[in-house]
Amino acid sequence: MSQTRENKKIVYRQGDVILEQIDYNIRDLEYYARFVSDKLEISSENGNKHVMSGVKVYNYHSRQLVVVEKPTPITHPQHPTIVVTPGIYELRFVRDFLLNSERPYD
Amino acid sequence: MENQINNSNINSYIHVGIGIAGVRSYSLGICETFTSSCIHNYRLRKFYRVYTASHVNSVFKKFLYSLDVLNNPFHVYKSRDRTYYVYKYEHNLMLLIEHIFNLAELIHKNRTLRDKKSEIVNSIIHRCRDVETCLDAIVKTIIELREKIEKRKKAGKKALLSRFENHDRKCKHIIKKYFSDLENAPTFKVSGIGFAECFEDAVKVLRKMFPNDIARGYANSICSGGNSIYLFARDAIVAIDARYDNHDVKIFCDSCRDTPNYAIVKLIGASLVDNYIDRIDWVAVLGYDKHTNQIFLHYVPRTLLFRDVEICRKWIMGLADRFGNVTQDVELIEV
Repeated sequence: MSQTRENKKIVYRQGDVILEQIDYNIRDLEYYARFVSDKLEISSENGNKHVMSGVKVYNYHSRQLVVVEKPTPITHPQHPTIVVTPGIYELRFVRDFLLNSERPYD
Repeated sequence: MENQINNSNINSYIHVGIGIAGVRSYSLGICETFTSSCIHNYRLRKFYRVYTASHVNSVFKKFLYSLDVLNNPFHVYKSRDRTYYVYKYEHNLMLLIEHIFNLAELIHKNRTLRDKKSEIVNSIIHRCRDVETCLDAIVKTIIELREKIEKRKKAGKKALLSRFENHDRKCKHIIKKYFSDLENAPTFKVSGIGFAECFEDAVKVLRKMFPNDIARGYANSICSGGNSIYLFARDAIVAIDARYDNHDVKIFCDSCRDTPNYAIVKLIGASLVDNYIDRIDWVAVLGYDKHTNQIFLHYVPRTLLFRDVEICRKWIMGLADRFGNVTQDVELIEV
């Protein structure tokens, strides 16, 4: 799988959703992580969703990892679409110091 | 009263225990015996124990080696990682030792003084001829140093206020363009009497803007000794006043950025006393997402006080640590 552009890790942000590329072996992931879905859907409070189809979503301990095998768009009705390049990504959200936690807001 | 104390200590001994820096700093006690049994059996009249860094030990040792009266103890013994120096009780000697420790702690707490430690201690030792002159010199030095520290603190607070006011003016146009309701944001006063009342009031307001767990999370933080006015943004900006006294709180805009995707400003909530910055209560990033037409506000650590708004934004995304160091080289693609 392609890892980075110019050896840099890629981080995608669409609204409050962050996909951070990580170095991880796909075979280890398939063995140790729990497969959750072949579609990434993150619901917002206003009813809109961040959606990525045709990807593999895994739960690995408390982390959510997304395996993108071919260039895949992440869509949201209010945000422009971004095409995510192949790789393994960790799903994160923006954080707030007063909350000491990460979670989607929009 | 003082005479009574003095008389009761006539046949007593001062035990000064100097230990390993950072682990066991010092203990100062008045005992009826000069042997270690008083320390072991806790038959102490007075006992001070403070754990600080190496400064306390090094300052005391410098006096110990320089002053005859300290360099000739009545007895010396080792106990529990400390070397105890025992002196026959004298009121002024006791005061001198206490002031040596006070001076050491003052030096320990102040970085500028730490750099001048030798200079300060040497100047006192230079003026010491006996216990009385030494005591006089050390008391005068402590007073002078405290005055200097106070002056420097005031100057720093004034400079901070000037800086915030200057930066505030630079971002007025962005505030006016995107966050025009910031200055007139509705303020909800929550009870500051106790945590439970404050929490209940704050959750009531925040639930109208956020889901339950987020509302409770924010309420928990602002009521846990927050004592300030906090801002929250969703469709509009609201303020929650969680002060339990009536000190002034001013909100400054420190830095800002306007891009095709978003406009952001860094806000600083500061408590003022006598028109000086007394305390930084919080640092936050207020933003406007041009795609979703929505405003947002996220709090960031106060350690990012002097960092640019863009670094604060990176902290929010988890790409910078709480000191503003960008932890990894990444290519950020965002909308």
